[in-house]
Amino acid sequence: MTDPAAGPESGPPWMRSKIEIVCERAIVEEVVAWLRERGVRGHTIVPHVSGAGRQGRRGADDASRVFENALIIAIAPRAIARAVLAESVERLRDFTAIVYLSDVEVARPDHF
Amino acid sequence: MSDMLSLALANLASPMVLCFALGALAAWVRSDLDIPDAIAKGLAIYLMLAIGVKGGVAMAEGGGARAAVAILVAGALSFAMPVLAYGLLRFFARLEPVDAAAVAAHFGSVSVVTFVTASEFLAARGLPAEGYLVAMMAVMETPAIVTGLLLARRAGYATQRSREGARHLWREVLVNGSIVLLVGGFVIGWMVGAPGYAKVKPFMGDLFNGLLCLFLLDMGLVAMRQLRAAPVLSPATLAFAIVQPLIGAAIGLAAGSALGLSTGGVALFATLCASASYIAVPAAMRLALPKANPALYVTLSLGVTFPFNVAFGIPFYAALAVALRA
Repeated sequence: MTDPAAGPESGPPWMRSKIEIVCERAIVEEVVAWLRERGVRGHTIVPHVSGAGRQGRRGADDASRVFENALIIAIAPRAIARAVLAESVERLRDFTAIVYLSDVEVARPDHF
Repeated sequence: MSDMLSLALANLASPMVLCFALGALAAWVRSDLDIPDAIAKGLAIYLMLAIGVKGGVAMAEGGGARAAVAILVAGALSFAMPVLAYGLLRFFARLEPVDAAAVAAHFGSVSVVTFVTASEFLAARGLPAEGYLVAMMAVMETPAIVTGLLLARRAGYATQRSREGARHLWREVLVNGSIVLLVGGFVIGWMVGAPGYAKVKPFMGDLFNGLLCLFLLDMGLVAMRQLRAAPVLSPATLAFAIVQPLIGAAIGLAAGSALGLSTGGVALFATLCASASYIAVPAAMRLALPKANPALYVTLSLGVTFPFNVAFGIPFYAALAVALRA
């Protein structure tokens, strides 16, 4: 993998990419482990998010919680974020998941 | 026959079943009634711990020698029953192999709430079951999951890809909260026996039925909401969710009698074999067989089989056990 913090595509030194993954609760642990494997250094989880989309209504209160979603937010250098985005298509194919990136300005860029 | 009818009516008129019906009605009319998630979770923890402790206390009274064989038989049945269910689902309901395997796993496993409702129903009619039925239930949760996965693998579906995912899956299957509470409660009850139980009886015994009512109110809401949101299912698939419990109950009645269980024990074991998991197994199947449709298995086990057992199955199995023992 290229040095994520370097290169012209990284932009100003305080620029990073925000990865947001809305996915089913069942796979949150697995997704987080995968992010760490890819070099993402931290994450935030927002549990119990609900909404609707291709999979119909999500977030219904079933007893097994298989229809429950969570939101995973992580900040990473752009190259890492792009690798995550590209890999997510195959990796999360059979699961409910929305993955997207955005550019963000961060305080303390050395944390990410 | 009149005995069966009076048992059925007594069950339908019990506060637990009426609370379940109230929850279902509220969801049906789209009421905003909502049991907060944390309370529902707290109630589930209470019920599982209390039923575990009660079983352990009963076990401490004696009867340990028979328990080991009964527990082994329970585990073996949980392992074997999905094969039968898979056959029915493939050949009568015409489900895809992966869906059939996932649904079959649910019907080999058990529902704790159905068990709790049945044991209260039986105890109220002077038909208490052996304490080790709790251990039989705990043992029945998992083997069916393994069978379901083997059936899916045989049909060519890969299960779980990453190592982290596999670890997570087996943690979920073997030490999920309900197993920890049931087994842990059972061991605690066994250790402390009746004298120890006397100290917690006001909480774990006297309050039990009231809290069960509240829990079943929530389950009524959840089951009916699931049914409302359900995909359109074929009549054969829906019929499976009624027929399989009846077959399971027949197997449970035969096995329970062969094991020499009491009348209450036979009825409760039949209920266990008739019940389907809707908490532990869906979570495991979602991880292990993501290609299987969760709306299908959750609807069948939670939306159809669970209400059927709570409203009609339990008194029916009890009446059959009484008739068998007469």
